[in-house]
Amino acid sequence: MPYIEETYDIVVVGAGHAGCEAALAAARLGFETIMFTVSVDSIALMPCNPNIGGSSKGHLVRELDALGGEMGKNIDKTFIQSKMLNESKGPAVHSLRAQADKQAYTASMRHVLENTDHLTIRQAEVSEILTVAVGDGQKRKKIAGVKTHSGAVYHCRAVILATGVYLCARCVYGEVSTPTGPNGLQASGYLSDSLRANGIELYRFKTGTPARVDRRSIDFSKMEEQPGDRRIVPFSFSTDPDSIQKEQVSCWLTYTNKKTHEIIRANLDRSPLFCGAIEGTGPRYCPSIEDKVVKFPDKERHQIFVEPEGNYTNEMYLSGMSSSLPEDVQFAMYRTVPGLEHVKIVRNAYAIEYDCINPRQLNASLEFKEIEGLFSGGQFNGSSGYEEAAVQGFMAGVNAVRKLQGKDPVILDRSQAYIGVLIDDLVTKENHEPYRMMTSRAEYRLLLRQDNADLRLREIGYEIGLVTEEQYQYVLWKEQAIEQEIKRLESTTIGVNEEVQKFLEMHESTLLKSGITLAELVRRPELDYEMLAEIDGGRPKLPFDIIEQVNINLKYEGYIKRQKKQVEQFKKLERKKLPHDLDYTLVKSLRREAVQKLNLFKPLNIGQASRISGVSPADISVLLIYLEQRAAALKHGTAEKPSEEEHHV
Amino acid sequence: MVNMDTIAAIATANGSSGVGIIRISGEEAFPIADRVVRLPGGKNRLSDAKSHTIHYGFVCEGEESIDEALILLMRAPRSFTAEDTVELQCHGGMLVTRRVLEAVLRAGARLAEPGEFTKRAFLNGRIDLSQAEAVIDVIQAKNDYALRSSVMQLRGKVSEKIKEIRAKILLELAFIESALDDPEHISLDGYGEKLAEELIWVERELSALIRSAGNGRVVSEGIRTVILGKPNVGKSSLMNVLVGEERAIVTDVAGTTRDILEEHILLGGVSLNVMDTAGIRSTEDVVEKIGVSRAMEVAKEADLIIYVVDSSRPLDENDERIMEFIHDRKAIVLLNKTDLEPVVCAGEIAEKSGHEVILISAKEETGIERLGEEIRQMFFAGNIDFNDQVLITNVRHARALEQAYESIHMVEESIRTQMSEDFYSIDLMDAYETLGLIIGEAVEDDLVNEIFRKFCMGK
Repeated sequence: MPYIEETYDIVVVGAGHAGCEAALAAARLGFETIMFTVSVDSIALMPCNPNIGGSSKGHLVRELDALGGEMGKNIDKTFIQSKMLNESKGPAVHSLRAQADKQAYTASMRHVLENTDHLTIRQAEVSEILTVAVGDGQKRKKIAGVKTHSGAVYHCRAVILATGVYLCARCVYGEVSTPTGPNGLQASGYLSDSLRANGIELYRFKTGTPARVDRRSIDFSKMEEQPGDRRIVPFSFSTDPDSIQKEQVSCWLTYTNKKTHEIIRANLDRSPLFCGAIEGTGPRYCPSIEDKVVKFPDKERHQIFVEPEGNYTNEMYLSGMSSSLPEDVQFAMYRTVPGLEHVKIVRNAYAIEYDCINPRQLNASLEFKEIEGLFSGGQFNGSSGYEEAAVQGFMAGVNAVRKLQGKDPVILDRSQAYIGVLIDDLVTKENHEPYRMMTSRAEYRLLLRQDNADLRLREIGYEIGLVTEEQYQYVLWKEQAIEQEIKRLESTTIGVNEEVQKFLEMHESTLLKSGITLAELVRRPELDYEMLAEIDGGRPKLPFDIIEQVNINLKYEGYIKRQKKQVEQFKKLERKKLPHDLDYTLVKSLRREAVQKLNLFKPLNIGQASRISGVSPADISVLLIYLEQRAAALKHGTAEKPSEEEHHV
Repeated sequence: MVNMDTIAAIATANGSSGVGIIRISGEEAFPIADRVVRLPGGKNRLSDAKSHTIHYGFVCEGEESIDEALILLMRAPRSFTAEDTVELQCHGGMLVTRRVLEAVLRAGARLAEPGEFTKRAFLNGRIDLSQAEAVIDVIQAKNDYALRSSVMQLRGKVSEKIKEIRAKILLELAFIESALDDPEHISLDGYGEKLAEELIWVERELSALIRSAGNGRVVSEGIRTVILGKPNVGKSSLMNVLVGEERAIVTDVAGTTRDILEEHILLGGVSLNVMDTAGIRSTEDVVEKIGVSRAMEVAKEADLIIYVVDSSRPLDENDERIMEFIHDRKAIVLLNKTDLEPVVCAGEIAEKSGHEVILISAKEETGIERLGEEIRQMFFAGNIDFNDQVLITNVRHARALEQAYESIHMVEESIRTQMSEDFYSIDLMDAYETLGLIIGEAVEDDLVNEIFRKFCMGK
């Protein structure tokens, strides 16, 4: 008999970036939530790179913030450098990235969690999930609770698994292999077996991290300084930009060289990645330095960014040099790099292997198809990265709550958010490596910009209950203000006069032959909204975020219209729902491969079905007709039970 | 695919038909008809005309008139698809009908998917539920056939060329995307100019393909005909007679035909696309059996098989296999070299192969007329299934090539107007996808894979 029994609404397993968002969302929505972690000191730990955001990941953070998540606010409180990437490119690929003070990030998130009502934090290892069978079915189950390694049982109505890289984790470098999570933290050795016993299919993935080195042992004079932006843009839509302008810390750029590569090549046989000691699948986008040297033999050098880990530590992160080579080789290779000749390693680089799930087993709500009330998020779902984890944790938390509320899940589609792209990819595509967000994965990226995440998602966050009335009202006002200003520009004609011609000449823009609207001038590549202030006397005073939207909407109008049209087509297919209990073997004329795949993935709608590889356009036609047939048959069925209204039709 | 945009297609079977009907269905059917039809005397637009009326006019492309036509107007929901529908009845003939269709597509219609009119009729409630399964079968069957014909009949060189162009586009796309994803490792400085240069090549190659598509050479139009027979029975000589020029190298040494010969010929007024399979077998180490087997593999996809037997040599095991093979297939048997002393009996062959035997001498050019007459009869009796999808395939491919060309042009426009690099990828991706349709390849994860294969990404 268990010696402790408690009951909660929701149990969250794990306190990383996914676990934190899940627990906060659930508790803030008023549900009694308990969050388990193997170490309370490691809440919201950043065990790898010391930054939040980056290309497309920055988009995720902003979207999460617009929905009512915490990550954006937390990094705004704890960053030590900030940069908008791709500023010279189009607005769709601008991406914010901030260097974090890791300790401050962890402490600040912990402070928020500890002071959230309805949220209990518990240090314990969950070793089992408890399920009961549903109905008479053999296969479908329902979650009942969890059991810890110490024998305590917690009953609950929903469980969110966010175990990150801790399931049967193993850290490896050279001949050294330790059965722990990152930083020597205790791994979860038992839960995998319980999951398998409940019919969950597990994968083994791998990732890695570079060494941390002592700042005092680095010669920065041999490196290029990488300062932050002069004007800092916050992640959170609710952070006042003026409140976060501050002194920033620099990162540093240096390079590997021939000597480095020689050392790596000479020692490949001692790398567990190459000698077969690691079986897990690693991510292609963040390869170890030995991977890079082997795969790109022609590259004479690779970049290394030396990044501070925080304000109160001398540890520096060697971005670009993750490795699992033996300790002595690590020393030798790092010391060939300019500026690192006398480097002292504080923590070795290592690779880590862990259990995660095949995410095909999840619905787009992140609930397991076969186990009601069991949700999951983060690296456990086969993704990678803090930001990818956080957004999934949040969605899992929200949808667990909605399940208990008896509401439909919130599912963002590919035209609404990067979050939608991420989750849709996870649940409909065969995933064979840790999944990382990339802007090229988003078909409608011109619409999914980081600058308009609030316009896209505040309303949904408000409906969920995690966005305040005030925040929501601001977005409504903002929308209106943008529309009004665009209207004004479209309808204000500038006549030909000396002042205007002089202005155009100065900006090397074609002179006017007849009157032109202000909107037309904004659209010219060499001009923009702000420049036109000189000749636009009647303009209202507007905040920067509105000016930005006006400018983008006018300048890229043609492209935006095209994408919106594509989205319309896309939406038509997304709206055609497929019954979740449909047995595709019963649908006549589907190709065998399509039947197999469809039964495996159980897509939510026709759109999702069309993205599954092995399902052809003809199969989609067949499904559409099948749906019509079914709808008609159902209608026919009800007509047999005579009802008053039906008779009049 | 499941769009409800405006679609068009040739509604009549190709070949012998005297009238060619192009059907347009969807919301834009009337405006599109207005764009391509000129009514005599500059009368009112078709859009203003009443439903279920017939009009006389000219189908035009720009200033040029392509054909005179009767135009049938049917407004929604009183049409087969329950959508606005316009039918253009032209004078027929493959070339004219195809040109009219092309004009309609340029005016804004999309080429209908196989079975799409039927599908719409069904989805719009025009076809009874009890027929639903039949509809599904039609769509599936037509799709299979279209897919097979569009990909299979693509000329090898065209397919290779398209793959080459796609690979080029994908590489550029992957480069842009990896730079956007990892701006601190990969720089796009000055990339626009470089890309513009690369695109000159892409544009040139696409133009060449578009020109050849105009000549119907992307896929081979005509009855796919395969000539089967043992080495040195006179297949190549027959080809030469049919084509009318010395194309294949003909000697008395078996296996001197090296390439797959493919010729477009008109015989008995019927268009044939003849493949001489002799060249299929490799030249030296050949066991004859292998050569014949491989030829039969190709013949499986043929609409018509011409089996040539050398009357001066006894039948062997290979002949037995071929005769069994063609027994239940559309085939014609030719007994060649009748100018020499015969050792083979026509009756025996007729019995074993299940087909009548025509005596010819390719060398003396006798019996060729009878061959033409036989093909003609088979065709008009409907004994040969003419692949009418081929014509459609050509239009589809031509349209896809034009679209890809337009997309590339838009990339150049973006470069010229100094748009940032991420805008290039929008149109590059469109071109990549469109070209993929021609060779039957979906996009899936090509881009992400290429990024990782070709470029070293950060962290």
